[in-house]
Amino acid sequence: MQPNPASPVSFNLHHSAELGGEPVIDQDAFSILESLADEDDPDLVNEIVGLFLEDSATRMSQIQDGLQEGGADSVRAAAHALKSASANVGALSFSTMCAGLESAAQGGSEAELADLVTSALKMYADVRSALMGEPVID
Amino acid sequence: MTPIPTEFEELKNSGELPSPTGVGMRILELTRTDDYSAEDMGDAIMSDPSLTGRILRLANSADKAGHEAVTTVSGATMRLGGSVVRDLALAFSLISDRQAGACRPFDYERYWSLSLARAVAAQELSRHLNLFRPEEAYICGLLGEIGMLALASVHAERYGKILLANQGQTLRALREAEQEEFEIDHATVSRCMLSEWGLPDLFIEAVVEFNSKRAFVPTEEPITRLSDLLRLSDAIGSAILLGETTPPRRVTEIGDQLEILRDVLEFDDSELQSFCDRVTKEWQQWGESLDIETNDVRFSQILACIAHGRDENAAQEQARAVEAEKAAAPATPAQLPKRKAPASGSERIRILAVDDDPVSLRLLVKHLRAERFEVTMARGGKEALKKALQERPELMIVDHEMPDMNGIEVVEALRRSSVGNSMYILLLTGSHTNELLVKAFDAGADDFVTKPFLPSGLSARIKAGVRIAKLQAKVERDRTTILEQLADKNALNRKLRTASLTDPLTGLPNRRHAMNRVEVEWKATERNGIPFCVIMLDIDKFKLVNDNFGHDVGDEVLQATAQAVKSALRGEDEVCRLGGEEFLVICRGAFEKEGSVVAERIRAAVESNIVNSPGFNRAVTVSLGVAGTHSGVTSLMALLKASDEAVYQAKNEGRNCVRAAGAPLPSPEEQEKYRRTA
Repeated sequence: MQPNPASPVSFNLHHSAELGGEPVIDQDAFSILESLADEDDPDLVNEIVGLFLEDSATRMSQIQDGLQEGGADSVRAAAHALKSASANVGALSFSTMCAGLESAAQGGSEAELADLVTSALKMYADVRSALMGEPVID
Repeated sequence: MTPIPTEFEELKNSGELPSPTGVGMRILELTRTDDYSAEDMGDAIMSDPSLTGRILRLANSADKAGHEAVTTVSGATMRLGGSVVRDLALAFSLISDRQAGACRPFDYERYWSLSLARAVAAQELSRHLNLFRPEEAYICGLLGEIGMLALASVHAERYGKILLANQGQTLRALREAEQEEFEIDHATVSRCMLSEWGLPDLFIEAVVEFNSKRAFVPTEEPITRLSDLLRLSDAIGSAILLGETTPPRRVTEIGDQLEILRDVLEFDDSELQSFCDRVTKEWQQWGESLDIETNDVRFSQILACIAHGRDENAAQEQARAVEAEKAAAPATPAQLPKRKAPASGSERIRILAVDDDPVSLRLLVKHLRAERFEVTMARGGKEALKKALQERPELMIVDHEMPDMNGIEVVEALRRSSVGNSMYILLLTGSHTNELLVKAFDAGADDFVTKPFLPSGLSARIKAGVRIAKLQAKVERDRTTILEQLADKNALNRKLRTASLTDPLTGLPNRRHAMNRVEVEWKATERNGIPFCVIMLDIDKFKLVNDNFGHDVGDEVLQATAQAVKSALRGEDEVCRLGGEEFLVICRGAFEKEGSVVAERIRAAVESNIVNSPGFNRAVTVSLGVAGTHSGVTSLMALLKASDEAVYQAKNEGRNCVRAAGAPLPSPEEQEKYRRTA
C-alpha cells in the first residue's frame, strides 16, 4: 500500500537496538487508518493521531505516578488502554511493550515493573516524535 | 369576588368539566340554599356507603386521641363541621368521576396520585404546624390542580398538544401556552370551579396562588399562608412520586424544596424522613380507600436518590424507576404513550458506542458511520448507562475495560431494566480469557469482539446484531400496534354500547337502558333493602299534537318535555324514554311518598314549560303514575305494572295529575334497615 502523501508521520524511524530495533510506526498498520479517511472524514488521520497524542500523554504520566505510589492497578489500567490505542496508530512495538507492562503490573516484581516502565518511556518518546514527524502538513 | 370570565362559561357549556356526580351533586344543590338542615345532608351522604366510609375515616384519622371514634355521619358532621363534610363529599365524588380520560398525554392516574399525596401531606403539615384545619388543608391539596384536569377533560386533544410541547418547561410557560390557546389558564379555571362549587374564599385564594407559583420561597417569618402550606405539600407529594419521567431539573427543585421544608419544620434529616414516611403511609392507605394508585416507597430511598442523583446519577435512578415500573404493573394501553417505541418510521438502526479510550472510540464510530448507522458515543460506563436508558438504541457496543464501571457491569445493569432487556449488546475486549467470556455471557452480553478489531470482522458481528435488533424492533412495534388497535376497539365498543342505549331524538337513555337499570335497582332492593321508585309518565293528548301540528312539532314537544322532566329531577334520579310519548323516571333510594313528591315536581315543570315552536307556543301536560318498592311488591314486573296502572288512573281522573300505586308508608323498621345499610 502507498503511504498517504499528506501523512505527517515518519515511517523510517526505528527504535534503538536495545528496544528491539523495529520500525516505530508500522506502515501497513498505519495505512489501515489512512484508508478510513474519506469524503465524510477527510481529516480523520490527523484527528486520530491528535487524540492519541493527547490521551497517551495522560496515560503515561498515570503510569509514572502509579509506579512511584505503588499503584500497580492504575499502571495496569493505563497500560491496557495504551495497548489498543497505540496499535490503532500503527505503534505496534510500543503496543507489545504495553501488553508486557500490563501483565507485569498484574503479577511481576516491582523491580521488573520499574525496568519496563523505563523502557516504555523511551519507546513512547520515539512514538511521539515519529507521529509528529515533520511539521504537520495542512 | 372576581367575576367569572366568559371563557370559563364556554368551558362549562361544553358539559365536559369535571363535576361532582351523584351524591356530590345532590349535596351541592342542597347547600346552595342557606337553610338546608344537617339532617338533609346526612341523609344524602348516607345514601352512598363508600362516601360515608371515607368521611368517617377522615373524622377519625390520626391525632384525635382522647376522642371516641365517630361512627355516624351526623357525628362526623358535628366533629368536622357541616361545611367541611360538604366539601369533602364534593371532592371525593370528583375522583370517582374522572379516573381516566381522553387526553392521552395527561396522566390521569398520576394526577390523582399526586393530588392525593399533596392532600395527605397538607393535612399532616397543618396538624404539625397547628395552622389551618387539617381537613381543610386536605381538601385544598386534593383540588389544588383541578384546573389542569378541567382543561384536559374539555380540550382533550388541544391540551394534549400543549402538554407535549411544554414537557420539562416551567409552569409559567405552560400557563402562557394555555392562555394563548384557550384565552384562560388553569389557575383561572381552578378559581372559577372552586367558586362555582361554593368553596370558601380562603381555599380559592390559596389554590390560585399555588397555581401561579409552585415553589416555596423561605422567609424569616414562620409560614402563615395556606398557599405556602400547599407548596410544601406539593414538594413532598412530588418527591414521593419521583420517577422515570421526572426531569433532572425537577429532581433538583424537589430536593431544594425538601431542604427548605426541613428548615421550616426545624427538623433534622431523620425527623424529616420519618415525617415523610408517615405521609407516605397515610397516602397508601387513602389510596386504597379511594381506589387511587399509590406505590410502595420508602422515603429514605427517595432522599438518597435526590441527594446523590440531583444530576449525574440520574441514570441509575432511572434504571430503578424503570425497574419499579416493570414490577408495578403490566403495560396497559393508557400507559403506552409514556414509552417511546423504537423508531418505527425509519429503519435506521441506532447504535451506542462506548469506550473510555478516545482513539478506539473515534475509530469505532468511524466504522459504524461508514455503514450508515446512527451513532451516539459515551466515554464511560455510567454515561453509557444513562444514554442507553434515555436514547434506547437498538444496539450497543461497549468496551469492557473502563475505569468507572466496566462493560460487564453495564450489561448487568441494563439487563435488569425493561429497556435494556431488548437491546443487542456487543462487548469489546482487549483480551479474551475464557473466564472473562463466561462472565460476559452470564451478565447478558449477546456477542463479543476482540480489540484491535478488523473492520470486516466487526461488520460481520454487527450485521448479525442488526438482524436481531430489527426483529426485536418489529416485535416491539407489532406489540404496540396490537395494543393500540385494542384500545381503539374498546373505545369503539364503548361508543356503540352508548349508542345502543340512547334514544337519538331526546338524547335520553332508551328503553333497553331503562330495563337494565330497574333490574339493577331491583337487585339492590332485594339484597340491601335500598328502596326505589319508578314514575311512569305519558304526555297528554300527544296524538292530537302530531295530527294537528305535524311530526316536526311533535318531535320538538318530545324534546322539550325530556328537558323539563330532567330539570325537575334530583341528582341521582334518571329519566329514560320508553318509546312514543312514554317516559320512565327511576328514583334510587326513595320510598313511594318521596317519589310522589318528585312526580309532582315533574308535573308542574312540564305544565309551565312553553314549547316554543312556530304556531304551537304552548305547554303540554303529563299524567304520572308512581310505584315504590315495599314488602307487598314481589317482583319487578309487578312494580312496573303498578306504575302503569297508576298512569291509567291519572288519565281517567282528568289527566295532568299524579297517582300513586298506594304503597303503605315505610315502617320504622324498613327505614331503619335502609339507614343501617347506608
